[in-house]
Amino acid sequence: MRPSAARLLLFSNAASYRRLAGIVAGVAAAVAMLLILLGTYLHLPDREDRGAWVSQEVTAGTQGYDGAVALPDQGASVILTRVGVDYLDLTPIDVVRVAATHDTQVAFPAGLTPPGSGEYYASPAMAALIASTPPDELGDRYGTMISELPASTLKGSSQLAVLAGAEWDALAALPGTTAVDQFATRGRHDDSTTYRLVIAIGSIALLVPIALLIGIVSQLGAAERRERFATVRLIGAGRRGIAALSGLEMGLASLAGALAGIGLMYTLRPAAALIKISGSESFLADLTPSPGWMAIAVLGVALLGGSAAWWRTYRDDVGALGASRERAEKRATVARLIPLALGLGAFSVATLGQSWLDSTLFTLGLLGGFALTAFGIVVAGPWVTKVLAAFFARHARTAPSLVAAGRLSRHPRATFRSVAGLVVAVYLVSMFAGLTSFLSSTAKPREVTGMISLDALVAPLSHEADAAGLVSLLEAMPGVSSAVLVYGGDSTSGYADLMTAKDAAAVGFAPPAGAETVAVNMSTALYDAADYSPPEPPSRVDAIGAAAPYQVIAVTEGDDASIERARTAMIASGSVAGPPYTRANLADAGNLTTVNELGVMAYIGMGIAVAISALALTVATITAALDRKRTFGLLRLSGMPVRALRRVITTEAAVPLSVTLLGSAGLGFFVAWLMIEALGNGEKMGAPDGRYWIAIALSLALGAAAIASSFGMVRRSTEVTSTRFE
Amino acid sequence: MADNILTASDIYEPSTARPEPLIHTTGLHKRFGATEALRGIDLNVHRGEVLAVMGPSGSGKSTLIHCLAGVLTPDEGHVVVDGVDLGALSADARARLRLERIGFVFQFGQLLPDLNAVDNVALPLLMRGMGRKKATSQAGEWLDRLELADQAAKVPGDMSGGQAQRVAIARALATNPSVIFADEPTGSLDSVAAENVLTAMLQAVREAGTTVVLITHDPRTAAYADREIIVRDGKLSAASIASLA
Repeated sequence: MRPSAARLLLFSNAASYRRLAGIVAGVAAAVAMLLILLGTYLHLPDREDRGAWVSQEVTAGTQGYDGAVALPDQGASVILTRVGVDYLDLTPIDVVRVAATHDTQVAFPAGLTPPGSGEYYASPAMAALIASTPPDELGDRYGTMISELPASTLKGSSQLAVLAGAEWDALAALPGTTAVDQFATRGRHDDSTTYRLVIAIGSIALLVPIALLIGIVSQLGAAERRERFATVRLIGAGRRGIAALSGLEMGLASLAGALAGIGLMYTLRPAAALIKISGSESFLADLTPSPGWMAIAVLGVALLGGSAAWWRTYRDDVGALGASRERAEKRATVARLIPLALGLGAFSVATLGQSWLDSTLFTLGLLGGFALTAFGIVVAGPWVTKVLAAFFARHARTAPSLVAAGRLSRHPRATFRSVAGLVVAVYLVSMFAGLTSFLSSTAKPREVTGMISLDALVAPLSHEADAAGLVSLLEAMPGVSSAVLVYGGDSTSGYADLMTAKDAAAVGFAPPAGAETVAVNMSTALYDAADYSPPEPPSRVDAIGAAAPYQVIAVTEGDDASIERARTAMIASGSVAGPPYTRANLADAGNLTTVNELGVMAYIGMGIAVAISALALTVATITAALDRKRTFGLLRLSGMPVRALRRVITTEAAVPLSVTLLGSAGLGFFVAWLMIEALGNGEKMGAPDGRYWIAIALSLALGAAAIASSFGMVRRSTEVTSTRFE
Repeated sequence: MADNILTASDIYEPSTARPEPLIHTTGLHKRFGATEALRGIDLNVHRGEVLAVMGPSGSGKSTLIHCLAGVLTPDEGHVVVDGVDLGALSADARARLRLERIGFVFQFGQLLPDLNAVDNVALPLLMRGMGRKKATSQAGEWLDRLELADQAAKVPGDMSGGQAQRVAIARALATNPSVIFADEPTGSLDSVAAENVLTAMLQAVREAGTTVVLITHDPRTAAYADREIIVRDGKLSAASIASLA
């Protein structure tokens, strides 16, 4: 077909341009998100490798722990390192203390000069935090800052990290200090594996609604296009020619959309970089795939779009008389449940067989199961809609419900497709809400008699600590009500921790009446049991005897400044072996930061998917109404009020949406339950948290808004004065 | 055909000897921008009669029907249908009037493609608030009267053009309207199907005593009417009036 003829056929009116603009916009959004997800996926291991130096597990060399193994002599070939997690309130800070000779041969990260005792490097985010916090609450913990850590030493832009210098002897005296001859340069990639899995799942969850949106937009003015294609067939064009034309049009639109998507990706990157991964926001470069990958994505999308359009048009085979009769949809049969069943099967095998499947098969099972289940919902939806419509048609009592039931019965695929994006989004978030629901049932720290006060800081003492001096120092500080020592007792008695009864009472224990000295269980006093079972009570002992102090506890007045001042003073004293912590810090450390981060990602993903799906629903509703403009116009002409037409449109969306939404939410929770049970950690699925209900409410509200947005158009386009007797 | 030609009294003031007309218009004018589509139409349509409205394309006959049905509001003049002055009604009230007293048959039937025949016929009854069971039953009876009982479960796409048009007639008659406006009801049919449809429609309306205003280009179709008027350039044909004076 000659280009001029093709141009006439494809770009004949404003509706053609609107349709193409919609396709380009949809593809651009899809490609932008795809590229950001791809970039993140590809760069995850790099993030971990850059931050490997703060990870104790991967340091190499001679190790001495708790004095049990002698550290090597001071020399240029090794350095001493001690890795810890410090806190400012509940915010964790990676701290690596190092001791090196001035002529050390150990290469520091990014070629940094080794910090001397009392000097430190801080990440940019940490430097900003220190600058904005009173020195006696944070900065004094580390000494004097030399400079900022370069980006090549950080996982991400918001990472809080400190590389601080220390005296060799002082560091060697601390339990857990390690001697190494090099810094680790390669991470374990545990986190990146987890996040890669999540990103892959997220990609499916986001791209399904986008693909649906593109599909819906491409159907804009379908009836009119069929008429034009039929006319062209009538005057001599072949089936292949029409299909090629359609494929070319979609391919070019996809190519333009994909190129625009690259621009959109660069625009969206700063916002996407704010999402935390492994405790840190991302550098923009970590979200950007290489030019090669971009080229593959752009060409792949254009090819896929063009091929799909070619095939669809070829398969539909609009004949010369193609527009003369209404086209019935292919019958939706029960076979449409097969992908969903396969998906659930794959999930079941992966989760139940976790113990004997290797990690690749497990990952494949989870990913495949998820993809198949999400795809299965989209495939099964029309059949469910058809079954519902049959029931609904039998029980329709009013004209609007009868018209809606007729539409649903005859077009279950089209009607379900308009709500499919929302349904998939709800499935995803329900699954995640179910998976993380056990967190809300996990014990949260609370003030209980017999446990360490929530306002108290606990820290291990170094071997050479001036314990009494530290206690005096703390007691003299404003905002500290008491400071006490815990002594290492006789472990054979079952209690390793001894205190004076007075001190025990001061930190939260309830010592037996008349006791002078008590044995306590610090473990049950620090960690809340999941069922809030009471901690072990202190028991009377004769005396502390020769036991040495090994922990210090400072009880503060509970305000943030008092806690941070006491924490800073304890660290700066040089008498503590590790960062002081509160019970809230302990609970937070054990409270699955990763899961919380994934939760944020899931809800952000859900928000995007819901917004896209609402847009798709809007377009689909308007398209469906426009395609039936004449029908609706004649109904109005015959006396049907506009509100009845609104009820038709609302019912057509609400019936499949409500039922499949319920179904997909149930399915999501079922899959979550399956996974929790299979993990076998004794966790139980609980009620989803508030964010879930907000997400559901948002979905329903956007769905309602999408439907309502078509009302004005329906009223205008069906004015009786614009409906002709034809 | 001479028996069907307008008389002067038909065109202007109704005779006092005749019953009150179902539709009565005086001095209808309708403009679309600079185009004057109707230029002073005075017309009476009597109860139970079948009136054919003829005229070339663009003559104003569709505009006339739109005004008679309350779809368009005339710029000047009055339309009274069944004793109700349409000019005094709001758009909603006119819609209600159409629902209760007017039926429509269009050139292509304009059935709802997603509904089967019986539901298409039952639809206006449901719109008027009738229960589903009763509406379906009445719709079935109308299909039966138009010899379409075997088509009841079929959707329009599975019927022939003539069958679909007869379903449209059943739909128009189902609410027992005072008047049916039929715009080229056989325009899309072959001559045999057209004759079947017209015969069926006229038999049904005469049994029901329903008035019909029938727009057509085709003199053979107009021949089925009790009388005919010709609209030309927005006016009733002067030649006709003169010949009847």
